Amino acid sequence: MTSEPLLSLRHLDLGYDAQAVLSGVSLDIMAGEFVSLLGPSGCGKSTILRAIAGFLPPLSGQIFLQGRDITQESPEQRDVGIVFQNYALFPTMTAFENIAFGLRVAKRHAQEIRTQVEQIAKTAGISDYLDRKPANLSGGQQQRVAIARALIMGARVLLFDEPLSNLDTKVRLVMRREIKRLQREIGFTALFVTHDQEEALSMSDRIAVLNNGDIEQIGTARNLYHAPATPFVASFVGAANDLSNPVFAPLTTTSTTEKNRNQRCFVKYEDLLITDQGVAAKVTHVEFLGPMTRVDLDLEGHPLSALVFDSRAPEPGAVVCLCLRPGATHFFDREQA
Amino acid sequence: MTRHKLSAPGRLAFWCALTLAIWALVTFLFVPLFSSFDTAFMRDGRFAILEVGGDLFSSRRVRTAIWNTVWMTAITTVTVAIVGVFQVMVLEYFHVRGRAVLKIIFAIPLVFNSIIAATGYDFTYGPGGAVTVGLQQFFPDLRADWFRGWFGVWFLQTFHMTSFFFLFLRAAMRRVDYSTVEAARSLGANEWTILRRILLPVIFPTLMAVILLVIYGAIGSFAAPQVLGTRDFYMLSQITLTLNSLRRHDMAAVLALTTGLIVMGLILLSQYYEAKGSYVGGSKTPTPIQLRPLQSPIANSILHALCYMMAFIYLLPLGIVILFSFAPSSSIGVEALPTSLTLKNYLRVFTDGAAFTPALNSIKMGTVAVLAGLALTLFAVPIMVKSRGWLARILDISLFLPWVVPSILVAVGLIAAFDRPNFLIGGGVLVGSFWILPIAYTVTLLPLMVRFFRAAFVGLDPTYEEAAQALGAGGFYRFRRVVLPIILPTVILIAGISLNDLMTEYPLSAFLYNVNNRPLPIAIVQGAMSHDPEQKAVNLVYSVLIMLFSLAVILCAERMGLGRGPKKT
Repeated sequence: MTSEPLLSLRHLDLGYDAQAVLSGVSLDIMAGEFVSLLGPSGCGKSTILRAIAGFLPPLSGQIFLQGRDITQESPEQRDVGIVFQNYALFPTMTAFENIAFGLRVAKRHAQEIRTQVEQIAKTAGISDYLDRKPANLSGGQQQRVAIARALIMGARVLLFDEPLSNLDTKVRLVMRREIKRLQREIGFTALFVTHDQEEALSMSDRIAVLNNGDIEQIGTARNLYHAPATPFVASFVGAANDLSNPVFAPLTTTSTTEKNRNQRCFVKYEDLLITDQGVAAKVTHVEFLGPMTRVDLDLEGHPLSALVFDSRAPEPGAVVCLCLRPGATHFFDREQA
Repeated sequence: MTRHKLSAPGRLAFWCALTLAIWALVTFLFVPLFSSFDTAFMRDGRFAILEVGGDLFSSRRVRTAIWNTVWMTAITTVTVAIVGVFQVMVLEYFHVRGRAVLKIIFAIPLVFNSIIAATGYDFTYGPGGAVTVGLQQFFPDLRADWFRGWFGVWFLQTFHMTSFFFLFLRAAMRRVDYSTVEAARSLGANEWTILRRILLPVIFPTLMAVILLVIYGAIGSFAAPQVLGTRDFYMLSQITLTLNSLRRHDMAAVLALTTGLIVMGLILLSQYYEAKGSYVGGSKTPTPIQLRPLQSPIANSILHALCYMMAFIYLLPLGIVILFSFAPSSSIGVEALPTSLTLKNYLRVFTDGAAFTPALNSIKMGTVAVLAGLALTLFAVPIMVKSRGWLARILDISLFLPWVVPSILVAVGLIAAFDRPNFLIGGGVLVGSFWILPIAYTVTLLPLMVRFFRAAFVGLDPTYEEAAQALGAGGFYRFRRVVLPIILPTVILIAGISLNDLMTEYPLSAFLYNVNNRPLPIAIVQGAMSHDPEQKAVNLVYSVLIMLFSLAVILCAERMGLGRGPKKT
């Protein structure tokens, strides 16, 4: 892309009481993009979000919004919307007043406020609940109000802090699509924090994977999945077997020629194939998961797992032959690990 | 950016408010305290504490007051502890028939307290009191003031200083994990061993803290001896007031400071025990205590007899006060029970200007004090909660100081600081003016307000403010539109409790009232001392109204679960 990024983080060091939790974070987000920050809990995803919103002054580095340095601006000065994990809807106000809050702060005319709130409520599908207090809204409705409230000021960037984690599974699937639909219709740029890889993979244009305060890889969902840049990404995005132990050498040599003992090696569960010939392993456990079956195996005392998509899954105790899907193995230099 | 400029006046307003708050604290808290030290220790620029001390101890009345206070505090503490522990055991440990009713009766001191109780007991047992009149019909030789003196003070305090036990010791008792009692029993422990070895260690820190609070209350006892005392029985607070009115401010200050030091020590000690009491039991799912009947039938009958006797002691004065508030004033001091009932007394309070003036004064001054206290604490508490800097520390200590400083010391200090023109208030004199009482009231309200607002602000989800901030709302706007509406129920309730307390506040009122502001508590005590049945009737009406107000406030507090912080959605 040649155009300038909408939001740009440059060498951010973030932390509390001068203790850096994240260092040297750099990330560019283009206008209209949907970017997820994916990582295990405690990896610093929310810290980045809080820094962009202005609640946490960076120890060093800069944040640019549309080319303007907003690092020193207070949260109320930034054109950044935020949707909190618990929504943070003001409990004393109705849904209407919650959505209208920003407009009232900006001292807009009553008529204009009414029109704008009604319009965005219609888009968000909450026109019927505007006179209710948050306590009388369902989780999904609260979520829609929170998004409408963040959107109404016309913020260019919307920050989502694990917004779906408080919803039950069904509503969560609906809201995933709703957020994407709103993004398409309104055209905001989204930075979405989540620890749920399925959520990140299904919604994002690009994903930044975080671990221990570092961005491990930034890329599209397919890119991360099929071409992980680090051992962590390989094992975190999609479940993978770590085949670095020499015990697995026969397995890795069957599928690839340029095997190197100084490299670490990963293969996704579904790329470990149970076939007629190959390396022998014993089946220890079989779990039927519906569309697929998970098979746990033992290869000379070391555990492996495979996903089988047809109904011919082996029985526990059986000895089967294994091989790897050609080209699906990911190698990393030892130093990286 | 236009919005950036807007924060400049906001910052200016903040610093103005901070300056105002610091001025208020310095002028009305620290300067009076310093002045009381100065008055006590210095005379004409030289150190004179020894002379003042000599004057004090050469006075027979002062010595008597100190001695009376010491032994009255000692016996009161013991008897209050006995009554208080007994009530808690009856309500929370033993199985007693009529427990629900007893619980309400043992809660009577929560509303029937301070001057209301003192004047109520005097009205029941004092000269012309219903019980006295009734007894005199059988024993014509009985002295009309048989109840007054040390016995009356002791009796009143024994039964009406139990609130701390009712509130705190009962709560501690409910924290006892009943499975530990059952475990002890299955290991062969008897009733007495269980009480001593299992129960007592758990409630001991709370018991100590509560007993210290009783000592604190007994030392500062004022309204009780003022109403029920005699020429021969008087206590420390009274003699301090007398010295003050004799313009021996130095002697009054020394007494007030000495009391203050003792009280401060007691409070710090009770804090120590309170902190020890918060230890966590091993059990994750504590079993609630199950009430158990006493095995021995004789012991059980004695237990029940004691309970119902105690209930009678509580109900009698309360019933007499309520009943006679509906009686024609001509029956007061004549009849043991009124023969007819009327609403005339109530009408009189609301229609007769002279009868209503003290109430109006108290409402006015109380409202001023509550509003000033709210303004100060609602400004300071968010700072104390959010920042950990020096400013927060100073505010924290300042606002809690009045809690360890007894009211009498606050009063003596204010008199010492403002009985002559003081530049801090633009060269005015406060003593003798309307404003001195509302100012003193405000000072004593601060600790209560800080305590509960702190809990409310700490319990407030920070994301509410962050959400508002992300939507562009500045500091004051966020406070007004988001934070305040959420904590408003707590604010209103604390305002109600404070106003209620001020309606019966005696020590500050006694020291600082004047012709411009004679408040309700002073009027009630004076009404109790007068021989005019009309005055007494007005007193009874006020007592009933104040108790109703207290009851309403307590019920609201109970329903809201005060102190748990605001509910989250």
